[in-house]
This record gives sequence, structure tokens and C-alpha cells, in this order.
Amino acid sequence: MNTFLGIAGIILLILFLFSGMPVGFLMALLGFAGFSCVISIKAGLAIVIKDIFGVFSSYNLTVIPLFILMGQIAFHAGISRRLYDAAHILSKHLPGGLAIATIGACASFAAICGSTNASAATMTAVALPEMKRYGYGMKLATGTIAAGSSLGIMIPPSVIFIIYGIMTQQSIGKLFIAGIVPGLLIALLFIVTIYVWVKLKPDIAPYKQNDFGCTKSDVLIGVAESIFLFLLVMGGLFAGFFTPTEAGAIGAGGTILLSVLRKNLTWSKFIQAVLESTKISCMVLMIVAGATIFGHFMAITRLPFTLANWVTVLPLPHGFIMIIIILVYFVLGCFIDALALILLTIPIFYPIVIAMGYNPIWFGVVIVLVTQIGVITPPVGVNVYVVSGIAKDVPLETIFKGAFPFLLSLLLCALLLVLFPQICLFLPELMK
Amino acid sequence: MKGFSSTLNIFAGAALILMTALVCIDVVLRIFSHSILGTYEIVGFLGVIVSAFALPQTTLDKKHVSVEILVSHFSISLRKTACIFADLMGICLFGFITYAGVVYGYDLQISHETSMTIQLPVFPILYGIAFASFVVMLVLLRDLILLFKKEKAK
Repeated sequence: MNTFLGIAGIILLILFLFSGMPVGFLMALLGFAGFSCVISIKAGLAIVIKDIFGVFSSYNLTVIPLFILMGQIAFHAGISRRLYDAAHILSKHLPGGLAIATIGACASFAAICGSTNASAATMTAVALPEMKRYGYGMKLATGTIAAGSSLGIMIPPSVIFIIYGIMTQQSIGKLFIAGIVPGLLIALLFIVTIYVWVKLKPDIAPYKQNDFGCTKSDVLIGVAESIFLFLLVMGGLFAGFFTPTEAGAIGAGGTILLSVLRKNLTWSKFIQAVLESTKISCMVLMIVAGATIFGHFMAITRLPFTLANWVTVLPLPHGFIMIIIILVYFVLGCFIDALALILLTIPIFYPIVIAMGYNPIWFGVVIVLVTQIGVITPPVGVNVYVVSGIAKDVPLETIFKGAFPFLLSLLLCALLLVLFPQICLFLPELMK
Repeated sequence: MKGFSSTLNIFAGAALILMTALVCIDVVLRIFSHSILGTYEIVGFLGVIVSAFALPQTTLDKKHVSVEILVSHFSISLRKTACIFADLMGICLFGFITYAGVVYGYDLQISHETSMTIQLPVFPILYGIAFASFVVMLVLLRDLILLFKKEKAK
């Protein structure tokens, strides 16, 4: 009976998900209704308020607003602009140099900002006018920005890794460290994609002697502040000196201090960054709270465990089941936001994956990569919509087409991770 | 409603800054073998203020993640029905949260429940969540009224 209620809960969730109701609200409401059906309304009310209080007051989850604040300050202080200028100087002699610079800047910015939206918005504003000025094809230009800004999901500090770590009780530090090599590999594959694309179609990125007014000292400054912040945060985590929450606070505090010292942060920009951070944090944590309530409902129906037991005794190779799970993530990722997808599916798939004996850190990296694909694929590719929202003269279709070659790079990286798990596991194994 | 939500969001922002400063000072003090007593608990309580007090403004600005892919293809009347449904469900949810917050907060108040290290009373935090949820309910109610007003004007 309870299992049946669990299945009904999932069906209703999928059904109402497409009604446009906020995902966090929907999960909380269905979780409450389900819990009330299985036990009592009093128990349902108690679980709702205790879960909301538990999530909002969780010391471990306060890492989210802190890293979001760090990213917002970096965004408003123009760190991304300086990164782009620096990357441009370094890549200006290469075919498609401006597009390669965009990927370089996106990868560096991802190291201090976990938000793909902020990265997409800032890179569209910074890089697109330059690429237009140099006569780059809009397909290449916008596709590069949409794909490049997705790197924030994989390169630490990533909000998705934090959520996955807390849900599965895995070390957030290890997950962050595990994301570094795949993140860099994806950036490299993106650069190779641009290089090959421009070699095949030179018209798409005409080579001109550029008049970019930056000096080598600008490059040094542009890169140095980001490297400093990244080393401060990740170094402390890697050495075991900080907890993730402390790393987030030190990162946010360091970014504020650095921006104030360099006179890049005005009072109004600071206020804007703080108020925007609270809203983004609230949005993320409301989904977490909703998923926690829904997860408790699922747990009392015992559906995830029944499903895990059923799947593990299926007469199918575990590798095949894993491929099916990855495909499910790939398909759902095209329709559902990355964060919501992780929160919705982890309680169901994680027990199955662990029962099959897979490494939880590796699984985390693989599904984060698959959800990264979702931010540039139609119909819900959020990065494409952000780029389109700013570059209003470029049709949405052009951006999706432009992002397609990068999709192949992401799929290649996913394949490499499945075949060679050590790509993401060797660094975490070195941690204390 | 807008002014009220934005004031609450300013409180949330102040809590976020305080949280950052507190953790940074605690980490720096640790280098000198000192620490701020109860940092863990204060950060948790500030976390509630950040998330709960930002809820009305986030809802007002429609910043919550939702899947719009199907709704955007609906006819105008169907889209309006979906909006009404979403608002009503939201009002129900935050009504329940408000009620549960007051009941749980009162329970904690009469049982004198405090935090473990610095003995901070927990009940005001619960009342805070209930209050913010009540404001979210009003925000959603306002959305609903505006939706009907637009319909009437047409």
C-alpha cells in the first residue's frame, strides 16, 4: 500500500512539475500530503516544519549562500571581465582566439563562481561584443559562451556537488577536488572543438590583427586575483584546514576584501551582490527543503529501497543498468533544471548505484557532467536562454545549433569518465 | 507588500554578511588558538534568517525554479488556470508552514528549548519562519488577486 502511495507521489510530481509550479513548493506540498496520508496530518505538519528548519539552519548547507555570495561579488566586481582580457591576450594568435579566450575565462571564472547563469550573463556581455566586432559567426560565438559557462557546474566550488555531497553524506571537499580534472578536461575539449571548427570553416572566425588594449601586466593581474582566491579556498579544503562552510566564508570574505582593495566594488554593487545572493540561496535551499520533505515521504513508503533491491537482482550486467541510469539523467536533464533533477533523483538512484558497488564520488561526477549537458540542450537549456536574453538579436535556434558541437565534447568526456574512473578519482585519493 | 518583502530581504542580506564575518573571524582566531564560542549554532540561526527572510522577495520576483516548458505552449486561458493552480497550491503550502511554525515554536517556547553551547532560545527562529511564510502567503494571494483584476479589466 505504502509503495503504491510512493509511486502515486512520483507520478503526481512529474505531472504537476509541468504545471509551472515552483519545484521546491511542489515537492514540499506532495511530501507533506504523502506523509499525512501514510501517518497523520499532525505528523505531516511536524515533518514539514522540522525539515524546513533543519535545512535552513543546517551548518553544512550554509556553505551554499557563502559560495553564492563569493560568486556574486566576483561577478559585480568585474573579475570575469579581467579574466576574459587576460585569456584573450594569451590566445590571440590561435585560430578562433577570441572563442578560446571565452572558454579560458569561463573556466577560470567557474573556479570562483559556481553559478552558470552568472557566468553566461557576464560572458555574453563581455565576450559577445568583441566577437561581433571581429566578425565571428554568431553560431560559434553564442555557442561558445553557452557551453563555456556550463563549466561552473563541474569546476569547484559547485553548488550541485555541495547538494550531492550532503544528500549522499559524501565529503564535499573530495567531490570538489574530483571535479577539477574533468572540468579542465572539458575546457580542453571545448578548445579543441573550437580549433577544429575554425580550421574546417575559417570564415566563422576571421583572423585579424587585433587591437586589444591590454598589456602583459593586465594579464598577470587578471589571472592572479582568481588564482589567489581559488588557491585560498581549494588549498584550505585540500589541506584539511577548512570545512567547506569555512572555505565558503573565507572565499566570500577574500573576494570582498580583494575587490575593495582594488577599488572594483562600489557600495551599490556590494548591496546588489548581497541581495541577489540571498534570493539565489533562498531559491536553492527551498528546493533542498522541498526535496528533503519529499525524500522523507519516499523513505516511509520504502519505495527507493524496494526499487534498489529489485534492480540489483535483475539478470542484467551492472554496467548496462548504469548506462540506463545515465541515459535517464541525460533525457530528464533536457527538461528539468540540474539542481532539481539531482534532488529529485538521487534518493531513488543512489541506493541502486551503491548496491551495485559503484564509487559514490565517481557517480557524483558522472551525473553532474550529465546534468551539465542539460544546460545547453533544448528545450530547457538554461544557459542558452540566458545568452538569448542578453543577445536579443541572435535567434534561439542559432545558439542551440552553436552549442551542439560542444555537446559532443561533453559526451566524449562522459564516455572517458565511464571508461577511466581514475580521471576523477586520483586527486580525491590523495586527500587527507 | 513589495516594500515589506524587500525590507525582509535586507535583513536576510545583513544576516549573510554577519555570517561571513563571523566564520572568517573564527577561522583567523583559530590560527592563534582561539575561537568564538557557539559559532556553529549562530551560523545555523543566521542561515535561517538568510533563507526564510529572503523567501517573500524571491517569490515576488518569481526567482524560484519551475518547469515552464509545457506551460509556455498552453493557450492563454489554460496558462491562467495553471497560474491559479500554482498560486493556490503555494498559498496552501505556506499556510500549513505558518501554522506548523507557530505550533512548533510555541512547543519549544513552553519547553524552554535552547541551543546546546550558548543556550540561545530556539523558538524565535521558528516564529521567524512562520512569519516569513505568512508574508509569502500574502505575496501569492496578491499575485492571485492581480491575475483576476487583469481578467476583469479585459
